[in-house]
Amino acid sequence: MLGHVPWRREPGFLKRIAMIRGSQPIAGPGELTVMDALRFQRLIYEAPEVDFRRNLAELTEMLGIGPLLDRQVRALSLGERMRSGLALSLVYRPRVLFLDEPTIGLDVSAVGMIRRFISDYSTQTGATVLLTSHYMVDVERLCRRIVLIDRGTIRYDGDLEGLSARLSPYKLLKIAVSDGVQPKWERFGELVDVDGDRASLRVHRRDVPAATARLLAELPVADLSVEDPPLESVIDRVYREGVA
Amino acid sequence: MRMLRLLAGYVRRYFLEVMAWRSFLVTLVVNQSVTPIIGLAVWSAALPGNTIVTTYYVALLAVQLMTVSYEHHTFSNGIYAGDLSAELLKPQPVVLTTLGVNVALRIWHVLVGLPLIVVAGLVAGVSFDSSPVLLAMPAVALAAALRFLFTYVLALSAFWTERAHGVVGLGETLIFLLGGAAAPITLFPEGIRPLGEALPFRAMLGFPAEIASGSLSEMQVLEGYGWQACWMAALAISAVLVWRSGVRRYTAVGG
Repeated sequence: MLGHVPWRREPGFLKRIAMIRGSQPIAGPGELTVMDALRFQRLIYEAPEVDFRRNLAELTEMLGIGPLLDRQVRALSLGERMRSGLALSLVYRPRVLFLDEPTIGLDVSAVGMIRRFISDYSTQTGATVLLTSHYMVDVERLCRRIVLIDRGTIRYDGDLEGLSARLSPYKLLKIAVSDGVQPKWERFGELVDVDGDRASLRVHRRDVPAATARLLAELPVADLSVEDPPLESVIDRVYREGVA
Repeated sequence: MRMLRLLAGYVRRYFLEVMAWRSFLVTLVVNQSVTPIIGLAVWSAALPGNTIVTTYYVALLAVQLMTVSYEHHTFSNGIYAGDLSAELLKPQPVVLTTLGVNVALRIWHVLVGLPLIVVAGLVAGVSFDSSPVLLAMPAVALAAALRFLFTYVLALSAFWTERAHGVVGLGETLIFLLGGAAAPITLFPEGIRPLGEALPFRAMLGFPAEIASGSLSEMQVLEGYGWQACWMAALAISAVLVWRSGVRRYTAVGG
């Protein structure tokens, strides 16, 4: 990685990477303030004072951690710890950032804020972000490239659309009809779910245009959408059945 | 130079962290002081009027507090919890953080235990001469380094077993029995005294107290320093080898 062998732990390499664990974004004494931790981080990573100040100012703005800098780490909420942990890990401008479950345990607004920050930071600095997550929404929102690892073996390496296409050659057609009609849904595809005048049909990707055209022609359609199956079910299928 | 600055930074950080422990810290100090104080009481009763043995045990109390090591808690637990992963990613020797915690804890042990040492000295009617005390200072520093290395090597057993606390506990028992806490090495029977003097346990605890209490001749002091130097080299090499071997086995799963 970056021209180095990781296990050799060369300082030149370690100063270019960072890791954040969602369950423990900040390690070390909880009695000290966030600013104490940041200052010590500068010492460990030998960041020049000028760069440190500039990076800290940027991160403070992006993460909104100004009010947190003089607070003790132990007094922070998990969301505040994550934001402070991101600042700690990025204040020396690593080129590769490992994020392990960065949104675990966070409330909805904190999750949105962290996702936006990761996306913006990666775009602005060109840093590579390796995200490990069980939350497929994180993956869908943030990742252009997906690597599935199963018992140490790479099972898939590519984009999300390719994964869906290979694993699930079907799409979901969600239809709502009006006028109280009772269609024979099986004529249009495999019935997944029906609730009154609404139904979900599983249709092979290549048959979607024809099935859609027939639905619109033969039924009083009030609403129609074509969706990929949920990512959770796709990933689950990889681990149960493998990638074809 | 950078390493010293980092070490000083870690000592400062953990010194402030430990400050918040308060009553727990007092408990730790009392726990570490019990053995030397019991030794003082027992051997004062067994050898009434022997000022060397009482002086020895008061000095031993100070040495014990200055060399205390808890690497099974501060390091082994990090291996078990996966916290070592974060340490491995820092551009510094991993041992530096553990050493910083160690030094911070020792400073606190001495600060909190100082009244206890003074009271023990006053009650026992002990007085120290300055020259033996000065002569003992380098031995205290070496003993502190030796005990850290010894406990650190034992704590590294956490890479192989989940019983690292037991392994370190065994080491502590050996230090108690053969380091001069249960009985001063100078009072060991003739037949086993040379063995007690040569083993590393005396170098970690009893030897500085023997010098400070004036119970050694110049030749014995020189021999003792020689043993300390030998064990320092042996334990430093062991620490490097065991670390290199152990870290290859390290895995951490989950966040």
